[in-house]
Amino acid sequence: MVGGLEPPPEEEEQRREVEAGQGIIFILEGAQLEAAQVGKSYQLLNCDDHATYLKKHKKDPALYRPDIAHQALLMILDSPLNKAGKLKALYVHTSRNVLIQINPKVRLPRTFKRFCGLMVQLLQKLSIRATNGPDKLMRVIKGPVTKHLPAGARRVGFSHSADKLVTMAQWAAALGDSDLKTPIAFVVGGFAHGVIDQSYVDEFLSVSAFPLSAAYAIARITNAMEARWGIV
Amino acid sequence: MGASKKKLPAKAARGAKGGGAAAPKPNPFELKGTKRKFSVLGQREKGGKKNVIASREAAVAKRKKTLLVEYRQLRKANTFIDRRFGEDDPRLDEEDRALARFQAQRVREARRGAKFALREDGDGGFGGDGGLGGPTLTHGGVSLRDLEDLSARPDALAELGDEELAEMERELHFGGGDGGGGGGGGGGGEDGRPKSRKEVMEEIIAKSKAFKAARQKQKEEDEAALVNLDAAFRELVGATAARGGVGAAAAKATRAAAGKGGPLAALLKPPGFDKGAKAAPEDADDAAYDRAARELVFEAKSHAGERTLTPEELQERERLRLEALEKQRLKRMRGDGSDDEDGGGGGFAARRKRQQMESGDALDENFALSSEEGDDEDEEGEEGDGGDEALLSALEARRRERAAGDHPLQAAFREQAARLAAKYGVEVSGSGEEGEEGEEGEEGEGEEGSSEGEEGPGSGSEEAAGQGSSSEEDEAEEGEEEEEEEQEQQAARRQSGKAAGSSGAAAEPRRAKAAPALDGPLDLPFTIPAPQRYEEFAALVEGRPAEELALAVSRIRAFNAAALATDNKRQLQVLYGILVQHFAALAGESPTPVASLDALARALLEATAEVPYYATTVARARLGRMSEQLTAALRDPAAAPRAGWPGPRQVLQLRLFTLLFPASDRRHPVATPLALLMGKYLAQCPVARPHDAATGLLVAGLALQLAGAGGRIVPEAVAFLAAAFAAFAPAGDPQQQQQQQQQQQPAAVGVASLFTPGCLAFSPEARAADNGSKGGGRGKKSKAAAAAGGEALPSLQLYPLLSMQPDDPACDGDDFKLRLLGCCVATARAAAAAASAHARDAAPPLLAPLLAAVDALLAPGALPAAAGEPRGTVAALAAELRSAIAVAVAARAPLLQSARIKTRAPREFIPRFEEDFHAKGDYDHDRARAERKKLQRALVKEKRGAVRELRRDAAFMAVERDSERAQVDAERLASERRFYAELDAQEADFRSGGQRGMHKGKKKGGK
Ligand SMILES: C[S@@+](CC[C@H](N)C(=O)[O-])C[C@H]1O[C@@H](n2cnc3c(N)ncnc32)[C@H](O)[C@@H]1O
Repeated sequence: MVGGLEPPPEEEEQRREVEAGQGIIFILEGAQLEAAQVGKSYQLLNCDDHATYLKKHKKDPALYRPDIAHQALLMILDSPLNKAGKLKALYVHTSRNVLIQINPKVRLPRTFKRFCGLMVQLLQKLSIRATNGPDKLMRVIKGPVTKHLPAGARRVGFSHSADKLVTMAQWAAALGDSDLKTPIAFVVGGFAHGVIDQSYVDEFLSVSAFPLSAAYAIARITNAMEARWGIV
Repeated sequence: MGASKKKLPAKAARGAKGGGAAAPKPNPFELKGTKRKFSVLGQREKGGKKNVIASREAAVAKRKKTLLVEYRQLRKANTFIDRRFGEDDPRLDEEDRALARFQAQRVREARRGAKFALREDGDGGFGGDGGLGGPTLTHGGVSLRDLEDLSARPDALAELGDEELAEMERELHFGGGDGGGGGGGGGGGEDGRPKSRKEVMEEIIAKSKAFKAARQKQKEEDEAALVNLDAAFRELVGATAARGGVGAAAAKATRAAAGKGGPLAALLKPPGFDKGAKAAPEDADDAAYDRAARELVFEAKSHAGERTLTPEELQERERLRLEALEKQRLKRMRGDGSDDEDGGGGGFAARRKRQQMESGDALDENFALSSEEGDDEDEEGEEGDGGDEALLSALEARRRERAAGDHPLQAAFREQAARLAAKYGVEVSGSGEEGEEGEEGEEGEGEEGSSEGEEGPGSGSEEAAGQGSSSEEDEAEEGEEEEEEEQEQQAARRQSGKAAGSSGAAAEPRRAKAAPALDGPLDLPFTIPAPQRYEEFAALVEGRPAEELALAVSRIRAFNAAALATDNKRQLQVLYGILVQHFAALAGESPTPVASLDALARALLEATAEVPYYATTVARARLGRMSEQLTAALRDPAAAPRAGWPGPRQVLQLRLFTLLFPASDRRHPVATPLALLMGKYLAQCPVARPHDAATGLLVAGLALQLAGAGGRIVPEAVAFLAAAFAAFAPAGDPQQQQQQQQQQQPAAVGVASLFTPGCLAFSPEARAADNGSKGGGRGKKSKAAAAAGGEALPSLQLYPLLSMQPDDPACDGDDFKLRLLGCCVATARAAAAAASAHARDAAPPLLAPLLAAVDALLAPGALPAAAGEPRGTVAALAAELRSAIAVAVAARAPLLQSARIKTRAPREFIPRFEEDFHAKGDYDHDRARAERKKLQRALVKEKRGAVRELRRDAAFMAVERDSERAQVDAERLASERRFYAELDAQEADFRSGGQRGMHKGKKKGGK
């Protein structure tokens, strides 16, 4: 009858302490980010704006979809999971074999056009600094990405064609503290067609019976992990 | 040209490619270039890999062609340039060269010769014979020499007539030379001169004018033709129509004619024909359809309904209706059909007429009358009554003194009154009105004391306030306040008077006489002018039952509706004041005339909306007076008649005001003081007798009701109830008292109870009975009562209580106390409900003292068991309070509301990048600076390039010079050697005697 003032239980606090160190890593594989010189300026190639250009250079326009990467990155970076500091690292591996490391604290441009501008500059200058801080927010780094993953990190790939169909929430809930001792690296494809052909992935999961967009697959993953850690 | 130039290298290149051998594959070691990390689509590779060796060779070759040549010519005065014909063209061989030279020679000779050579053959003065290519003059492709004479015509012109030819000649040949003749020459003199600009313009203008005129003329002609055609057509139509047998098929052919007449007539347009108009209906069906459609269109616009009447119009109608009814009534009363107005029988009508006639006096009358007019508790002594003036009591003197005081409000009022008096030319005096004198029962009112008569300023103010000044109303308060001092005595007096008769004292018989004369509702006029004084109104409604009172008021209000006349608003204000006064007067009566009060309350409720400002002023004045009475009484409660508690009149007025004004407003000029006043009663008036407690309960109930509408609670009422419950405990029991105090201590700290301890305690006998029957069936009974929700206890009856005297012996009885307890329980329940509904958070501390008091009461020995099962009821109340407190506590929000904690999002970093990124790196939005930078860079580059070139030139030159010197040295050495060799040979010959040594063979072998 004290009017509802109850301290949080002891276990909960302990849990929080344990969970404070836990986190995940996202790797966006096969992101189709490619800059090209169009006329005088450099532009990030996309199938809409550069259809004729791509045709002229005998490229398949379907392979130039930077919007997928944009959406996927926004999904990852805007998730409460990231706000809660659970995203430990984020890598983008482009189809042209450029590996980009992105600081989880970056605020990506919301509009696609500005995103393209950012990516062009990144691909040209190989690093992007913050306007309000000294850090390098994005960097082109030397591959392979495994070199940058923490030792012993579990690498989970996601594909619709994977044999193992899981309910992501259950899968995440079943993760024990020992599983989470090192951050799990989630590998998601940033392309429209194709599969992740990465030998470094330990296991492939499918999170839905339907083929999903990369952004939605990421949303599933982040949601499940948020539920796992009780992030609201 | 450009195309061919462009094509040529391309062709050459193709040729080179097609040549097969092509460029040999370069030695990869000779190639040099930068390797790119990321291949960027669309990026132009600058030159790709360069062949270093080739480019060096090229540079050396270039220098040899330029620098070396210059060097060779250095310090040379002249050079030999071979300008011989064909010498610089390597394609020509010797023979061609000779040929070309010869040709050139011949051409030169011919040119020079033609100019100066003498004519070889005599004929023709034009140039040489053509053999040498001399110029030949021709005309029309025919050599001039071939044309025998100049006038000979070319073949092409042969067919033309002579005149045409002459014309042509004039135009083309400027008059045909000499052959043109004199006439042509004259014309040529005029036209031949080139026209000036002005002339040209004039010509153009003239031409355009002529063209316009022509066009105009053409148009006129067209129109004339059209008119002619029309006329012809009309004639034609007329003829056909006539043949058709219908006579009236003239030019103005109507539609009908068009329908039946000749077919052509239909084509004819009537004179007022409008293109937009519809064609006439072809046949009967169409016409019918058209008609129906038109009807539909017009039918849709039905007649306008009667206009909704405005409120003013409705009121006007009501008034007219009332007037008609009044006429009928008067007629019936007189029993004849004569003119009702002049009958003089209907007192009100007559008076109204009189009033209307001397309307200038109307206010004047009021004003004078108002001195007599009074509020409810009027005194005997009236200013207006000259006789009474002699009998001025000390009180009266005091009051006058105070009225003459210099309070600003009073001053304002006096000023206002003086202005009014001046306006109407009246002296403010106490003289009665002659006009009204005749009316029976009118002037009696003042003395009678049933009205709240008061001295001039007070009542005058009420009227003046009708004109919208509030200061006077405050004055009225002041005036009335004094009058209230005597209220109690008067009430007593009136009560005694009323006990005898119906209402009045002195005037009663007179009115009693009048009333039967106009018996039934018939005596109530339909058109009642607004009463100007309370006496008028009192006389009108005296002795009437509630329905008639309501009827009278409604008729007055209908007849004097504010919208009907400019003055009516003021009349209604006066009426409002009178109604409130009447209400107060009736409230003081015993037994309380409930129905009349209800009727008045209803009328007041409606009238309040009409004169809100005045209503507020009146109510505030009355509340202020009550408050002052209370203050005065509290100065010495023991001496005050009711220990400060309000009498029945006040209580009922409080009730009236709670009805009239919105209680739910947060702040209201009436409701707020009202609530404050009731709180003051509850919190400050001492309770010595059960009757006081009953009044307090009444006020508490009122206060709770008033506060409930606004969602407020009344802590004073709750505290009063707690104290009341505590007072039910017998005073004599010290142990119980102590226990009670202990229980109350934590909750109600330092609040001394206003109740005399144990003043409400039941008589010892009753309690004894309770104790005695403890073991009996009480427990069961009480349980049953508790189950029934505590409805068993009897409660107080409002109106008997109001008419009961404070020192009535019945008040001290156990029965009354039991009823009091029942009332307490009911009010406490209401308070608990209000607390948990409106102030849930505050409910626990608010209700805790009450609960403590109730619990104390439940202790054995405090309550009688005999009648009405009080214990069960009280126990039920305690349970209810407990649950209310528990619910309130349970409903409290937790102190930590996690949903409200907004976790701040971690700081995000914004990447720094340019909207339009250029790979070139340095670009500047400042154009001038960028340009300057560019130039600077170009300059540096140029400089470096120049330095590099100079260095390489120097190196090249050094090599050249060295090689030259080496060549010279080598030559010299060679010549030296040769020379020495010769010398050696010579010497050897000399030695050997020309035999060339002795060992020929050996030497040969050495060679
Ligand atoms: C547009 S999908 C690529 C579709 C591709 N045909 C495939 O089956 O993976 C882009 C990315 O979304 C993720 N994705 C899409 N549907 C998925 C599913 N049902 N389960 C797991 N991941 C999925 C995968 O990571 C995939 O690389």
